[in-house]
Amino acid sequence: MNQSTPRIEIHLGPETIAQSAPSSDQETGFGASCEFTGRVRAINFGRAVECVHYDAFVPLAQKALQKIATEALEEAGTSGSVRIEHRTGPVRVGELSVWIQVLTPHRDEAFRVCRTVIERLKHEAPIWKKEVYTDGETEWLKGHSLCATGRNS
Amino acid sequence: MIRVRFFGALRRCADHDGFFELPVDAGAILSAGELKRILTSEFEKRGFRNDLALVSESVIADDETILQDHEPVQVREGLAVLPPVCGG
Repeated sequence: MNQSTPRIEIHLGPETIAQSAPSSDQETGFGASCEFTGRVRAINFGRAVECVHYDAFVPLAQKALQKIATEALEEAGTSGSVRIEHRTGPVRVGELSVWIQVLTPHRDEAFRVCRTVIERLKHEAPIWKKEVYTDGETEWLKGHSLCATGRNS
Repeated sequence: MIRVRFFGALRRCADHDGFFELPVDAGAILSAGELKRILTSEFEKRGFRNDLALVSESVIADDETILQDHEPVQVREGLAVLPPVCGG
């Protein structure tokens, strides 16, 4: 593949995240791979969690994540490949809610891009989560207002 | 009347499909900030006072972009109101 053209794949949906391996052309094109996986915790702030329901404004979330990945590669000054998968709907304790895979020529850029993508995802992507506790109560978790970011527009 | 889409914690104030009716004519041109003020007024009328802060922290968006408060928007079905986010 042409290493100068970033390859960015975004998927949001209810399917279980498979964490698929890089394709063979990606493996030969890039020497470094960095992944971030996020899972639903059994305990959050002392409360026993049954599952988490993820809500997303999918069209805008896809666009926001595409922009975040593109800018993360640009800021790191590297070519690369970024895959982001995020669950929607109910996700049980222990299951993956988010998976980010970054491939770049060298390790430093891979770490930096991966970190940037997950931090900006949490602050800028229109995704929300409602925790369902084992006692039957539910709570939408507090988040970050998009009023101040100005990076999605 | 038009219907806007609610997400996240705002869903508790929406109908079963996640929509909320606003007394604005489709096709009218308002700023996103004006639309939020109308939304705030409707929340007060309908007794959603506990969620007024959530509205003030929310943004108006369409499928393509988030609208800043000063930006004009042609009112139409399906505009979205996005409360603070917390993915991951």
